[in-house]
Amino acid sequence: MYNFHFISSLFYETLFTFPFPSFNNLNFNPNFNFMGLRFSSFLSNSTVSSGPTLGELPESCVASIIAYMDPPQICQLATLNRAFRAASSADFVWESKLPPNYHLLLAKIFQDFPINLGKRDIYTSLCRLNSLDGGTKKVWVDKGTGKLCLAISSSKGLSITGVDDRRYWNYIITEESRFSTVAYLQHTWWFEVDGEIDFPFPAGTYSLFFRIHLGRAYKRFGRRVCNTEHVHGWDKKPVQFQLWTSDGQYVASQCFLKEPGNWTFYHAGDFTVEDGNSSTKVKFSMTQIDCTHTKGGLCLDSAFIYPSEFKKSKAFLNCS
Amino acid sequence: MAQEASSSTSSKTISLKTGDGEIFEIEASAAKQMKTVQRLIDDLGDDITIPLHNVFSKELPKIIEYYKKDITGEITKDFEAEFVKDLNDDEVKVLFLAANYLDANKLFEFLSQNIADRLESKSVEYVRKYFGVENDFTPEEESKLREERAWSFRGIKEDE
Repeated sequence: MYNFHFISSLFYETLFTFPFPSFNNLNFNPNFNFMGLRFSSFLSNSTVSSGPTLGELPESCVASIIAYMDPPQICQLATLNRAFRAASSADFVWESKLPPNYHLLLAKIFQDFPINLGKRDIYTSLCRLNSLDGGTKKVWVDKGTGKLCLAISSSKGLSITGVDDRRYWNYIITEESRFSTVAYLQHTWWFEVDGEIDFPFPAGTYSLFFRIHLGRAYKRFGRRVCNTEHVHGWDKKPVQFQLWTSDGQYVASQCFLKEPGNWTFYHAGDFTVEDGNSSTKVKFSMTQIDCTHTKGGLCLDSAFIYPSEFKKSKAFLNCS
Repeated sequence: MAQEASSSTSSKTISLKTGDGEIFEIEASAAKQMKTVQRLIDDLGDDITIPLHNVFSKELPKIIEYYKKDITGEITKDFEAEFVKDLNDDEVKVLFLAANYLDANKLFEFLSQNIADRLESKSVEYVRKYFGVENDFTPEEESKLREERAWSFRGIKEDE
């Protein structure tokens, strides 16, 4: 070790004893390998430019900068040149973007995930809309933030009172959901939707939402039209939300449903996960069971679980 | 003079000579944070003026200023913000290159973050110009790259 350093420092001395070019003409010898002690060698043949360029940097230096960028930008920059491409697939860059408990996530989501896949590929796999529980749930990592999101379908993912009675509920095919169908309520006295999820959420605070549309949307001559003929009863009493976790958290709230014609995320409550190394069980419900009146004309898409910080950063979650 | 060898290095200063011939003093404990400098000290001794051919009198004082704060534990977010506030893109690049050469890890990481911040939300062309890099892919590599990008974030439905 000592000898190596001694030799390398002598090398510095001998190489630089000839007159060095002026400051504005920094031009590293592309074959000089002193940083090759740790890093890969310098890239070759960039033209001498008038200002200092970073084009001659070894890929680990490029990687150090891009490690602080967000994943979509890192993927964009992979097209710059070879050094960027190599740096953009460096494991250490992606290690920091992955949820800390990604091993658990892979085990839960995939049947057999190839073990020797690079960290970037693990990240992109987690970012896809992965199906869980026979397609009744979808789970994905938000590509910009690396945070976990989950959707539970109204079709067999959630438990809807009276859903089998076609006088009350029907499933309609839609393009406006992550799932292919949403549940449409014509009318009922007893409106109750229950759900539960048992999943290794990474540590953090999460918010649960129900995505709801008052009125029934369809396409007419290519334009979106909303039929609100069945919408009634929601203005009489508010809808009640409740949320429980297996570690004793409980939250209850209520609000009135409003705004026919748009998909709205109704915030049901928040829960906190302390330890990402174990599975968290969450139960939740949405009810309006005042039997003095019926209510109807509602499309229920799914329940969503998003990191709580998305309430501020994602425009579509401007909750009621 | 003979007792110097056994005294601690904490109060000792090291002389650094820049590529354009100027000499600057730095405390030995600060020099320790720059691994390249420390290696040269280990090999050449700490009584010699350490030559830093790739660092110049424009940037070395700034680097010394950073590590002076570091050894007294005074590096705060405010200090770091001040430190880069008036630096233009070229000056940051030069500092970054110097930190890389000097193997000054803390400064190197801080400047990596700062450069990444400066490039946030910028176009690919902007970044290309900033780094001065040319596309060195072969046509085969280019098409392979396009395929890769096609699947890399595919299938993500944007929320509405």
